[in-house]
Amino acid sequence: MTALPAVRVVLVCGGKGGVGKSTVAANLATAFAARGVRTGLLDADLQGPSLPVLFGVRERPAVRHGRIRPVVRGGVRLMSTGLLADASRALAWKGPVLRGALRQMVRDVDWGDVETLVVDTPPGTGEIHMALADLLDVAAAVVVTTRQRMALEDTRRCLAMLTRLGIAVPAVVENMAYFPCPCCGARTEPFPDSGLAGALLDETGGAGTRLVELPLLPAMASGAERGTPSAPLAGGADPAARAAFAALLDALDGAHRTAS
Amino acid sequence: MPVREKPTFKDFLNLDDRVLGLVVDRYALPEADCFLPILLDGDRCTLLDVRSDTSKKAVLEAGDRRYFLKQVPWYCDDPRQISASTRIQEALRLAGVPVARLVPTRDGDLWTSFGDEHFVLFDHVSGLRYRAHPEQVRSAALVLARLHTAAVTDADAPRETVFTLAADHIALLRKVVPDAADAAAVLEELLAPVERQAAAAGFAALPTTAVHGDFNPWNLLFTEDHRVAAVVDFDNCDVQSRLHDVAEALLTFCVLGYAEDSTNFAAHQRSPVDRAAVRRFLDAYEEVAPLSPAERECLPHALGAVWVELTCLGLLRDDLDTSPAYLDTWVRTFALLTGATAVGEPR
Repeated sequence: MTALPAVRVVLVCGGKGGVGKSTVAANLATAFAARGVRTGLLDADLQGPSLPVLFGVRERPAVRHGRIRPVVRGGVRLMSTGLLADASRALAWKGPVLRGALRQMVRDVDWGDVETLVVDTPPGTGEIHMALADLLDVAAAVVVTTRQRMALEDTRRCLAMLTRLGIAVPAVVENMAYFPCPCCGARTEPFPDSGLAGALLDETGGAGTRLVELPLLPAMASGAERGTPSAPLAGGADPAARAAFAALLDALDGAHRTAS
Repeated sequence: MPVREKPTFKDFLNLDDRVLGLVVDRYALPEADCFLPILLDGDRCTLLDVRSDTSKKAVLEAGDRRYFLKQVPWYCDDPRQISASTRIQEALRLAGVPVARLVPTRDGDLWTSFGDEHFVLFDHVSGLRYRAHPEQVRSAALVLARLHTAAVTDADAPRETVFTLAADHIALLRKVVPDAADAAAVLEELLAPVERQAAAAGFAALPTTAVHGDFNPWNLLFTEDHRVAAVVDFDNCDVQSRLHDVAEALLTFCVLGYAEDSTNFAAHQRSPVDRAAVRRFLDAYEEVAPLSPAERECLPHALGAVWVELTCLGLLRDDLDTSPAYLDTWVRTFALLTGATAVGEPR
């Protein structure tokens, strides 16, 4: 039997490192919470945890009656290996320790009445993803990429893995798709549109997969640097980012309604 | 047992699938697929390798049971010594001392080797870590006394003394941390007179028994009601005067301060010594196992020697402040521990 059977589990994946998975995962969880959904965020990037920085959290989680109490920020319950040791310690774990840490972070954490658990995954298609698929009944995945060919090649691998695991992908986020001019709003596209992202959706039979463009926003970047989890991370006052996350949530909710 | 330099680990104290498979096979365990690295025995969770990085360790779930797998650390991984220490540990358990049960391999061995690494597997004891509750301290003293009155011995034990161990640690400090030469010289100066005084007081003729060799708060697990659930980590156990354990317990429970969440010492140690705490621990111990007049006379000297050993350990690990001003604090603490008004005087 899988852990947390009553919880909607959403993976945030991406084939390539640095495309913004953790930022999207943090925003997504915050956006769910802002909609009144009881939300948890599990940082499954066990060896490169980002959530402590993104949420400005330093405290080690408390233990009560043998169970870990997640740290709560912006209404989101957080768990990350980054909360267990500071960055001076390399978390150079191998297979069985990685699987064990993941099991404890799912099973031994008191997630309480969480309805949706967003899981930030490490880049690539590795052991952690397989372990997560074993451990949890994953409802859906969001795949994060940029327009760069380097990222898209690995995104294909990531989508292939999710297809093989039978995990629905309601949305692919094209992160840093454009930079809106703060004066006139004109779009500047830092990476050329090769059309590959669209082709990728066709290739994976993604009839139900939505391509969501997320702009490159200084407010979002500085929010992540400051560790402010709420409005700025969720798009703040920027209409484009707000619309992107609304579209992402709608895609996930739509897929969830269809599945159930 | 020679005091040895810490080797460089290239594998980050890690445990891989090969080791997992070997453990499952060697101990005939039901299926197990992972090692659990997060400890839940304190008020805050932590990682096993943050708590202690001397050797590979992990909790292992197999079937409906939990085990604790531990690599024998480099400083005591001589096969003869491991055989002695595991025999002592098992004999103490059979004598009723709360000691985690060593799980035998399918061949009946109490320890095993994977390549050049040696491991023990014991039943996981679910317990809480030390929180300095007075009842925990009292229970630790009572259990230490029971450990000593079990009268376990072993012919292959290394039979060191607190003075040889202190001298070996000073030598290692000189070798590994050349910058600490001044501190090593001070420690040597402090050690020499207490060793002479102990010899004059008949230290060599004191009775011997199995000692834990590293009896400190972090090698004990406690129940919710503050009793000792298990004594763990017998790597340094030996057969020698029980004053080693008594002195180490007095220092680690009542004198030395620790850095948060680890077994490393705090950079700045408090001064002066809390003599009332020392007295309470000793009184509890002597309820079960009174010291003889000769042992009482030697105790301040043993305290001095173990303090030197632990200070060397702190310097080797870079735990302690080594500024000249702080050296004065060390010397004052040593004088308090070993002086005429120290704890071992007859009441």
